[in-house]
Amino acid sequence: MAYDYGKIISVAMDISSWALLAFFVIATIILNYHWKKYEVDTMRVRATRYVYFTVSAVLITVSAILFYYASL
Amino acid sequence: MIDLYPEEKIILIERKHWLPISIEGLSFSMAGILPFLAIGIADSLPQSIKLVIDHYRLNYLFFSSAWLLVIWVLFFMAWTKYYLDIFIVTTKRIVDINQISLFSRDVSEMKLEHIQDINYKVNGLLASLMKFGDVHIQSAGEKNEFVIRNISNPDKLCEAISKQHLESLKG
Repeated sequence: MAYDYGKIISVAMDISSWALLAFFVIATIILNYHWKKYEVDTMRVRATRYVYFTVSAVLITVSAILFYYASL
Repeated sequence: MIDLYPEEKIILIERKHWLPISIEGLSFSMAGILPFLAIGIADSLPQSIKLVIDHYRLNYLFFSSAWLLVIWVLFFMAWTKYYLDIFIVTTKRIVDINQISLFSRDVSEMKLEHIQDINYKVNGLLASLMKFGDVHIQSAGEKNEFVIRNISNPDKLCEAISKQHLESLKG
């Protein structure tokens, strides 16, 4: 029986991209909740939040671009 | 962070030493770059595997970047746990906030006048060089002993607590 690897990878990519998005959103809500609740005004938390969101945005953009081109 | 009593002031806030979280960060970064390293060594892999990687290169890169994002989030979860693990000395009490996991937090406090004995241990070469160790505080209270592990500058912490303890006895 021959497997269609292209189809399998395409389905795996669909599933993993949704799972990744859900994981990222839930984890970010949890992290943000902790950062806001316990120490909202310190410079370190602000800097951490800035680094976290900037790098996450870059990684999500790169993943989205790769997903788009790989799906073509 | 904590609700202070009237006329209570925070004397000292100490966190765990940065070395354990740095080691954890290093392992996370190793795990994160592993799939990208595989691309670099693809030429030395068997021809059949190399062909698959070449054919599905974009898909492979997508999974690698997704993996990197997961690792990134996991590292920040570990960092948040480290950051919220705090030990506070005030003019009236000591508070040990132990962040066990993101949704599990153990906050214990001890009145300064209940302290009976305080000592610290620095174990090993690395701990001596990087100045971190464990502080043990014995009390007459319900919780007999406080143990604060891997804290930065345990000597200074002991000194601050002893000084505050003496002042609380005078007062």
